[in-house]
Amino acid sequence: MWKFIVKRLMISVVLLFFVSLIIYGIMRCMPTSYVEQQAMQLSQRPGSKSYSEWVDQLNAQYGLDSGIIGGYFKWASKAITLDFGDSWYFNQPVLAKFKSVIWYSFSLSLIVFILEILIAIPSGIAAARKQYSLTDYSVTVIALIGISLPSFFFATLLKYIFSIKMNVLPLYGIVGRNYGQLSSFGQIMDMAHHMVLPTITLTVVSVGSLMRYTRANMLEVLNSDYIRTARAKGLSENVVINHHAFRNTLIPIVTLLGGSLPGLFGGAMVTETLFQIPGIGYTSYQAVVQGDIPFVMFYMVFMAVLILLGNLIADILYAVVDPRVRVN
Amino acid sequence: MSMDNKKVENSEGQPKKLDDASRIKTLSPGMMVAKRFFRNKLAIVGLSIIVAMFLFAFVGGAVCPYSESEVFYTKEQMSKKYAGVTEIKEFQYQNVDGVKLPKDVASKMILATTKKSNIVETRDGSLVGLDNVGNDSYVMFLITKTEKKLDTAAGYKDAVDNNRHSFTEGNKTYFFDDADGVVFYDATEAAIATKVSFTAYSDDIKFTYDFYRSAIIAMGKNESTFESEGKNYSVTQDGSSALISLDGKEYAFISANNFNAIENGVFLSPAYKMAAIEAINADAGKFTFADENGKDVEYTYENKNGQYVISSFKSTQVIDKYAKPSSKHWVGTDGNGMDLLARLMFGGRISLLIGFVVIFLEVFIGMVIGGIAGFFGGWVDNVLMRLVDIIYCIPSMPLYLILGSVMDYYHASSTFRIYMLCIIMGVIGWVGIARIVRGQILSLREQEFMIAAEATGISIPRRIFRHLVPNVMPQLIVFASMGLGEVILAEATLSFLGMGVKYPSASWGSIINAVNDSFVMTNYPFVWLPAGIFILLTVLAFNFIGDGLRDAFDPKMKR
Repeated sequence: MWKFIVKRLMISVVLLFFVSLIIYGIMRCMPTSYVEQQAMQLSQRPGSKSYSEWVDQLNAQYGLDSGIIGGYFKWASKAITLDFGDSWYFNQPVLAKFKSVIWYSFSLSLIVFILEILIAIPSGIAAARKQYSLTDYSVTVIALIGISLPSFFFATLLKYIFSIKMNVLPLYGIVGRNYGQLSSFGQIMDMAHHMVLPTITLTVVSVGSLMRYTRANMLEVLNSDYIRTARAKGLSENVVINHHAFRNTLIPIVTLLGGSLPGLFGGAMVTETLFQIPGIGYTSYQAVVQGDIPFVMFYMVFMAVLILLGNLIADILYAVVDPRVRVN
Repeated sequence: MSMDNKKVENSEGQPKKLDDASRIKTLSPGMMVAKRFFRNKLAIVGLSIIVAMFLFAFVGGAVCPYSESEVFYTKEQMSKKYAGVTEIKEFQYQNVDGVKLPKDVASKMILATTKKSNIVETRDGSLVGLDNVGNDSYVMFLITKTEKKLDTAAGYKDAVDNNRHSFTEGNKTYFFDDADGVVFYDATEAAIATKVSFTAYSDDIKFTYDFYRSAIIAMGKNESTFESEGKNYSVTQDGSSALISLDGKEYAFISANNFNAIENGVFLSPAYKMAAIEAINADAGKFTFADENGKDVEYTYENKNGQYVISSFKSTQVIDKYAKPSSKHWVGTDGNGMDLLARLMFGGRISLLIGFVVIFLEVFIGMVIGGIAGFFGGWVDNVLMRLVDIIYCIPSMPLYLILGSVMDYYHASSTFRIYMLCIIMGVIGWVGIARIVRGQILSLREQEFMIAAEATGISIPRRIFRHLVPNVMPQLIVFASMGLGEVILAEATLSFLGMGVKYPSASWGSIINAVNDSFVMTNYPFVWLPAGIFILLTVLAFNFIGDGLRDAFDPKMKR
């Protein structure tokens, strides 16, 4: 087992190397008007160096003077020590900005994750129990609608109905105008109030795939021989479903959910941007739009790490949860 | 199966034999799939939506009389400021030809009039006499003291009777001040100061000093006629304004207000001024006046700190922004004044085309790479699958955004952006298909039919693409139809964020982009609602079809 994990980790590191190299290459194509702007400002100070000298100095400072490969190794040698430099747009170290925004994203994702599990698994199982029934059809259709809903459109619709027409929920932001005057409980409630619409949006948009996954797995399990055996033994339908079928359905579901755990830190770029939730998604969207290379570089690599980590956790969980699987 | 043998007959009416081809109805595998597919209600719904969308986008776009980037204009009644009316508060001077007043006389005069003094002493010591000829109207004289005794002069008596301070005796003009005993002065007439303005009825009329003087004196005396330079004018007074006519024809208009046209080149006729003054005096709030074409235009005025601003409603041609749905524009118009229905149609073309092109690219690359990896195995498989892993790890949405902003930087044209979008999405998205194909082929290549294929000496590409890949087709088709929805969704999201398809090209996502302006979101739901529903319906339909296909291809899941 340990050998397997170590081997996978090694492969992940190699993959990460190539992924970050590719991302770095693409990032270097980004317009770096920031450097020119900065140089222009600095050169206008009295007694300052000339514009072109400043450009050269800043490029050297940000590691933009050497070629892509050389620049990459400069960046990577710092990144290994967790030094991702200073964000251009936010004017603070990348990691400091990251630490200040990540918990908004994480709490939002965690609430959505829990809601998703609570909604998707029971309804998926209910649909599979009575295949082709009305329940099954409605679950399938609802799940597909959720998958097909463009999150930006759904968010706009929710805003239009609840914020504009009914005026019960805030349009965007994470805290209200009088946040500073509220008691600490009031502050939490204020934030929760602002989180309602983003939570609904994300839950509805993402619940569908887990619903379908649960249904498909449950159907497979219900068609297997040991369920037929259990029924033949005369066990009640509840025992068959809850004890024999459900536990076996859990194997792939736990694997999938475990694999998506790191994704909770990834943020939801579109939804956060629409509701202006200051999480990692919205922050990185601003960084991308503003051409903030250090921050975007960090974010992309961070996302890649999350994906690799998710795969690794899924593989390990698969072996842990299902005793039939033996890792070679 | 209660089939009566006698009734089983072939087309010639003869009884069928047991091995008659038409008797044993076997469906080909493809037909079986089709039959299962068409039994699925959801799949049928999905198929009809897609057909409807294609008709809407491609046939509708061809039938629609408008193009996607045609801008519509409308006439709008706009209240535009037309003229300003100010009460004249400073003296207006009309000098006698060739006579110059001392420079500071204007300021001294204000002091003198408030003190009711008749003599102004300017800084250089010269004296100016003021002879009040009416309300705020003065004839001004340059004066020097004289020792002559003129108490008995006829002109003097006349002047005293008429409350004047100047008279003519012999050929000379005299001025007297009676504030502190009567003092006489030699006088030269220099100017006339009033708080009214004169407007001529026609351009060729030039007022002379004598005309000004006579008119103002007549007004001060409330006379209805006066004579100037041998012509008889008649005066009709109305409050502070007056109309002067010559030989029964309107000649000049005098008013205590200054008129300024707001726009350059607009001539405010005396008649217009009269109408305006009349309305202001009557406090009517509005008045009508015929414009140069004889059409009545309504004017309104409002008082702003003593100044009146006259506005008129004028029809101006403006872009028909956010027009409500009407018979001309069934869905309305967007913020650029373009017909939304046409944009929905052309946007649908682009959205659907991007979906199909991207999926084609994905399937093509995925099939080739997955097929090669699965067939050869070993190090080839290892290298290719690590490549798949690497691409799988790159977060796609931020990447699209970055590439979008790179294209922004290089000012890529809107069509070029569409091509690039297809290529980028295809190049990033094929990894899922490659994994499916490889996995299937890994198991398929061990089967007997592949050994048979190898034994017959079929070349490797042929074995991969003629014998193995067709067996993966069912999964590919299902994946492609579901993937189509995802691609359309991703393209819409990108365009919504302003990084995908850009103006003037339309796509459903870029139409919804208008909600970034919260005023549009609040007030014009007809702009963004239809496009959102179209995206939802199309993606949903592709998912329905994919779902139906999956069930149809998979005979294990019996229906």
